[in-house]
Amino acid sequence: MRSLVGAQDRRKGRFLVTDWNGIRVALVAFASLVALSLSGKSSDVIAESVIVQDDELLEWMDDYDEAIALAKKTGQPVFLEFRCAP
Amino acid sequence: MTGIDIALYDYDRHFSIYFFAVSPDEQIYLRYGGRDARSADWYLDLDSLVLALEAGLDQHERWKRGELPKTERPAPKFPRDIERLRDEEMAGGKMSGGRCIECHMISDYEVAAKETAGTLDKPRDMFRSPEIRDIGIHLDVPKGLVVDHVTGAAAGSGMLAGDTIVEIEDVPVLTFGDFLHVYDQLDRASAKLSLAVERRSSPASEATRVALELALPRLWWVHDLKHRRWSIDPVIYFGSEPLTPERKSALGLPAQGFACEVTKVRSWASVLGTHTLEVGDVVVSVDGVETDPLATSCGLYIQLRVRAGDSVMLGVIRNGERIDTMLNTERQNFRKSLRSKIG
Repeated sequence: MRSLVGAQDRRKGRFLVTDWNGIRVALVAFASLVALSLSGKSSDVIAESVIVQDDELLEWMDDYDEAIALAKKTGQPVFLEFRCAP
Repeated sequence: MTGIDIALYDYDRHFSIYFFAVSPDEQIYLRYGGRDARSADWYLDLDSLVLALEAGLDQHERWKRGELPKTERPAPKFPRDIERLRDEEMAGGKMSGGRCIECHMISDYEVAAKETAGTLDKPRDMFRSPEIRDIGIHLDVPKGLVVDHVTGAAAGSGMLAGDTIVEIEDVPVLTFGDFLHVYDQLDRASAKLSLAVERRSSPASEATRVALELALPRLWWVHDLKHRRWSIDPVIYFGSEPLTPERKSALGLPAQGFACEVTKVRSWASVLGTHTLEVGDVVVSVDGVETDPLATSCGLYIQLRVRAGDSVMLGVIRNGERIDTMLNTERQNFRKSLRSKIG
């Protein structure tokens, strides 16, 4: 079984996060598409193998309307996460 | 979720995590997410997420060049537009207790409203996101929509291992999330599914587009709902297996009937007084009905045809004798930890 577990630090540079029930939005910069690597698929917990480069270019926003407004202003796409903890 | 247009961001809300890649003017480039009965994250994988993100960025480039067809946006809908959700949960109503609204509850309240309005279609509304394995499509998950191996209907269509699914029902798809979303919209009466794949004779060769048509098996949309919490799914506190044709014949039961043998009785049944069935009982009818075009077992018949919370009379064969016994179904609460009924 594979499972996705986010790191404790939910801020910069982490695509996959836990412990936040709701919606999270990120603007993905073209210039630095993050490079994700997996150290292996045998372990259930692969959080530590999620490596994100250029952390400062990825910033999650919590307000959808603000994110869309910023996307329109900057011309960037939006990566929208819906997460619901059981 | 309060201010989110749930019509635009429509997805199966029993998925605990789901992603959209979106243009600045809210055109959806792709979806990433989805699950099956095995586990919540079977189709989630960082390699495939990277592929999805790359595809999303490609779509964004196309959007900037004006190459993406503009999709019609559905009429907006917000959680506050679901009356009972608004009144019972969002306004600090009797059920909220200050707790958050769980994502699946949006779907629960929506289908409960349909049930009240008489527009509920359980094959479509309850059996959401049918399993693609049941039609023989087994994906190489880290590679997104690349097929790992095929069985059943998929094999019969000519789909091959290594094919990349690119279209379903004339809708282009980039991810499993895209695929499952379209597949979920399929009319449950459909007998065919059209797909398009890209196929290479060798890794270096150019891809050829191949159109396929799957012959869908009967009841292709039926799958295990245990990982879902639906208030419209009647709780019956027993498990069963459909009878074989031979056993039906031996008991003089109709071949097309949904007769089933009780294989498990949950202890809550006696505590709650829901039924007095015993392991080994053969349920042959529900309120006098023995056959149904959609039901292959008594459990499925009850799921599809009985309103949660209603009582029905079961015709049962026990130790060779025919008896009638009442089944009082239960309705699951919208919240997982409470057991009070919501009718």
